[in-house]
Amino acid sequence: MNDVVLILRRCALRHWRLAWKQQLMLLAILALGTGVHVAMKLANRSALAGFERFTQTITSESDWTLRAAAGPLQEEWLREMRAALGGLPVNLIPAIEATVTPPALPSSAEVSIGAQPTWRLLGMDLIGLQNLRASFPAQTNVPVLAERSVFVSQGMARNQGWKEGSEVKVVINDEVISLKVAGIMPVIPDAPAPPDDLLLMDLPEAQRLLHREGEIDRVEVLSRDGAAFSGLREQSAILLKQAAKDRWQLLGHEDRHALAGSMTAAFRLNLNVLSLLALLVGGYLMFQALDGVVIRRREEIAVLRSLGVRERSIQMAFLAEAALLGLVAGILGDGLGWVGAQAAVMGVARTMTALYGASSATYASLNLDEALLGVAICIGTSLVAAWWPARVAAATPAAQILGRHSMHSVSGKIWRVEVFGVMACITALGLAELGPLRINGMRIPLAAYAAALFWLMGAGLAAGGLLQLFRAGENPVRRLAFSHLRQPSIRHRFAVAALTSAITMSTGMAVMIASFDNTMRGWIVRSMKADIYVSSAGAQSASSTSLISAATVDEIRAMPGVQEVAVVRHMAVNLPDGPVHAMGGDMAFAQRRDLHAWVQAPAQDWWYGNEPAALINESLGERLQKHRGDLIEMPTPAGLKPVRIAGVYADYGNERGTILLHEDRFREWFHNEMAWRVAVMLKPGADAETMRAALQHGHPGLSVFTQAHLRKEALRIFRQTFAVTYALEAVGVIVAVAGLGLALASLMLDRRKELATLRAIGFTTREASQACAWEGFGLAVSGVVAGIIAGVWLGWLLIERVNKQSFGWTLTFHFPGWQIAAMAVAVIGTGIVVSAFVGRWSSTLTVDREE
Amino acid sequence: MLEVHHVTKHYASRPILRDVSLALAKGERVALLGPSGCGKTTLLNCIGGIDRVDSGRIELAGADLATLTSDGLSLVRRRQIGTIFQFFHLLPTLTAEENIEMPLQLTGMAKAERLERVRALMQRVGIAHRSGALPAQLSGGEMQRVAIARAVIHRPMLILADEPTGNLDSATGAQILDLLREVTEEEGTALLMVTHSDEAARACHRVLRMLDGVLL
Repeated sequence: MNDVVLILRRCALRHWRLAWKQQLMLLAILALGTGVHVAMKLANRSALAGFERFTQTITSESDWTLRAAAGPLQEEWLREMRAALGGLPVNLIPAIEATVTPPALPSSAEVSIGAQPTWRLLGMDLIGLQNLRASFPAQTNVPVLAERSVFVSQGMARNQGWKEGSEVKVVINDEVISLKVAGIMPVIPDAPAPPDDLLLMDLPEAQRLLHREGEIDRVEVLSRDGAAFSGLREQSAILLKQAAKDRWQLLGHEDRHALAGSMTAAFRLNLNVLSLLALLVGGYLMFQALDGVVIRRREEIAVLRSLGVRERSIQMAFLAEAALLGLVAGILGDGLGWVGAQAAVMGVARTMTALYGASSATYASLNLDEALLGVAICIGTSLVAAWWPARVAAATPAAQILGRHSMHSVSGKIWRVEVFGVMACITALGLAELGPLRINGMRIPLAAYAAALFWLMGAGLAAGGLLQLFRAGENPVRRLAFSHLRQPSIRHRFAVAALTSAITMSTGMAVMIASFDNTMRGWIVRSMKADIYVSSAGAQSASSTSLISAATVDEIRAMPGVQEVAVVRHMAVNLPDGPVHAMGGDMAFAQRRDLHAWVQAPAQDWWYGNEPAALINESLGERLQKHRGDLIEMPTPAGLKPVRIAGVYADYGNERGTILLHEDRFREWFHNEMAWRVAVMLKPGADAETMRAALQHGHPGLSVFTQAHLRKEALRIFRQTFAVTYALEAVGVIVAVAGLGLALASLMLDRRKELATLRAIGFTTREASQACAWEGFGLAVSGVVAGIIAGVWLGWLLIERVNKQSFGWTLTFHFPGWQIAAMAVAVIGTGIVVSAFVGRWSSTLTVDREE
Repeated sequence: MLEVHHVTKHYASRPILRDVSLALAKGERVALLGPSGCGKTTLLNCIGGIDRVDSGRIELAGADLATLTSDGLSLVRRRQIGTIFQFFHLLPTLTAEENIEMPLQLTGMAKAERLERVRALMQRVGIAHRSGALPAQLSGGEMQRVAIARAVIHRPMLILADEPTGNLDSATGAQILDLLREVTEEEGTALLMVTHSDEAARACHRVLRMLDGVLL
């Protein structure tokens, strides 16, 4: 142990001081990797927290939430709930919730979907809330509110510049309504701060404005558990369940968290995997840098060995140094991660909002646990990266080094990693044939992810085999360069493996995204055939509850120039394994216009007949493992209804799943006359843009889009979700190329004597640089070729297995040839430039002198 | 053929070579003796154009090395100088034959002629049977034979040898010295050999002694 401390103190830390620029660089590399990981983690958590329900801000976290299996709860059921609970000291807090949005500024241009913020209007019984005075500070004296009055959070008031008495305009359903700020909600100690997008209103007023008198969305149940009422929470649950008669469901806070978590699991997993990738490439660079450090300090190590320091002590000293680096870099990484999270949280929240529902997160906090985890991950990465260099350092042959000042390491034939690579690839092929893991209704493509991991690892290892294929002609520079490739060292193999892995991932992702993009474009063209699409201006996200009144639909239908109007109605229902969209539409219209891309086509006019039938989308079919002809039990306000699956259609609009009924059946079961979306077909000769402008002018509470604009917007939102993927992919490739440069630098340092020999036999500086560039070229070409080949299969795996098992979407394979070719040229070109740069640098290395 | 005039060289203000002058005639073998650190290798490096002098002049076949660019010096080494090291310094990823062939490739010689010359020389130095072996598979004596062959294959006018027998046992060292003498006599090549060995010095026409950067 003394040896280790001595080496650390006398050698390692002095190198830190003397070569502080290199140390700073090393710290920055590792801190950056950790920072990206921490940032993604924080942003993810923050966006997820923002995604969950808001009620806990007002009530603290309730014990139970009651909600209907389908549609709203009826206010009259509250009396039954209260009666069921008898005299138990349990509070029932009914709530109604809707998404609202500020009206767009008057403009003739079409706006982007999601350009306007989505706010939550929460209607609660404010009088009833006074019963919870223990949870509320004295200054939150809830007044009896005037009409159209709201409370807003401090953050919202600050962001919007509102104060008590301010007038606030919002779009509720398809109407622009003026509200008045009645007060600012205080921040309550030890309670979650009210989110920055919350408008709190008295329940009856909210019901009136939403045209939902007598309806509520949920009831929060709060029991005051104490010694006198031990088990009150469980007792109230039993009583409420007994009284439910299938009309309502009981959810604990675990269920609520699980629901929010499972809905966004795939997206968050994607981000986590990508952030781990950043850490991995940071570790790879760290490995390359430490490898260089070992070579530079080889003489020092040899001297230490000759002085009697044990191999193990040298290895331990290097690992301790790496751990120290990891500690400092981890602390820096936490800081960087926190800063990065502030930038990332908005993007992640925006994507989550577009895909799944409103997420209000704008700020990501870092707690002690996460900070410690960040540091621990950084130290772990650093130690893993340092393991091999430390081993090499310990194995430094003192006599050889002290005699020759350098040592060349050729791997020879013992290191047959290609065999392991091929075996890993074969394992991947086997794993790809396994199905997803199903836990609590969630489908996790665990085997497919494992297959991807094995494939990446296997492709990286096997890629070294390509180096054997390089043959030089007459050119002595190439002959020398390629001779090194034909007998690759471990450094060569690592460089190729890293590059192969990065290119494999990039190619796989590019294939998946291109296939997605291609399929999406086909689907958009097929399913968006109406001339004009109308929704509430409040419908800015997937979770929007804003609807269009029947009167407005009638007005649209009556407009001159309108030939046909198709209405889609919507209701969120809850299947046992999670929520699903129930929709009602004009199936004759859909059939006539051929709007659906079929996975399993239905019979002609399938909606006629006595037996209830419905279409389901592919995601739901995959989720429930149901096919055409199977029966599903659909929750409705009147209880469960058996529905025969008439057909399964492709749908890339949501991954929650959709049950699509004919509109007559939907209205009969859900008693809902409000429209969710309206598609308008114009008479021949009518100008879509003129009609859109007229409709928008007459109805400022609506969002009106022409077909072309909506198609463009759908693609934009889709592509936005992949922006972070592209960024991290680029980081992976850049780091791999940088790693190639570092590997070559290590090789050149290792071959310093050889460079001297080359100069002695007449190689010019340029030729020595060229030899290095050719070597780099060989490594880059091997990595790129192997990466592209492996990436095509990875793309297939992502499309046919990971995507299919996660989302249930059928995608048509598409290889983006030009994009991949551009990437290959860029990587090989950059690899040559970096290698030439290293070669030029290596020619300036001092030749060992023996005076 | 080689003329060194009043050469001085410093490393970090420490004098390594002090006013060194010497001359070598065509086919002459000169041994350079002296204790470690006296500047022998630095002098060899300066003559080989790997290092530059601070003052003085080195002329090889009438050309002043100080006036040549880095590429010019490379061309001089490529055509007119052969170098032999104590630790052989063969290119580890090239076979014995490829190592010897490399200087000829650099001069752009046609493949057939090149291979003919390489094979003849390998036969001559007794390593034809090891042509496909990598340096790591060769013994010390074999490696030095390859190094000598590489140094003379392009028929340079000067061979610079830095302790060519310093890492060999005495029997092998004697064989190598014989070989060096033979090939330099056959080709009329001058040899400047840094050595600590009296036996090696006896293989030369002339012996120079160096101490603290001064040629005695």
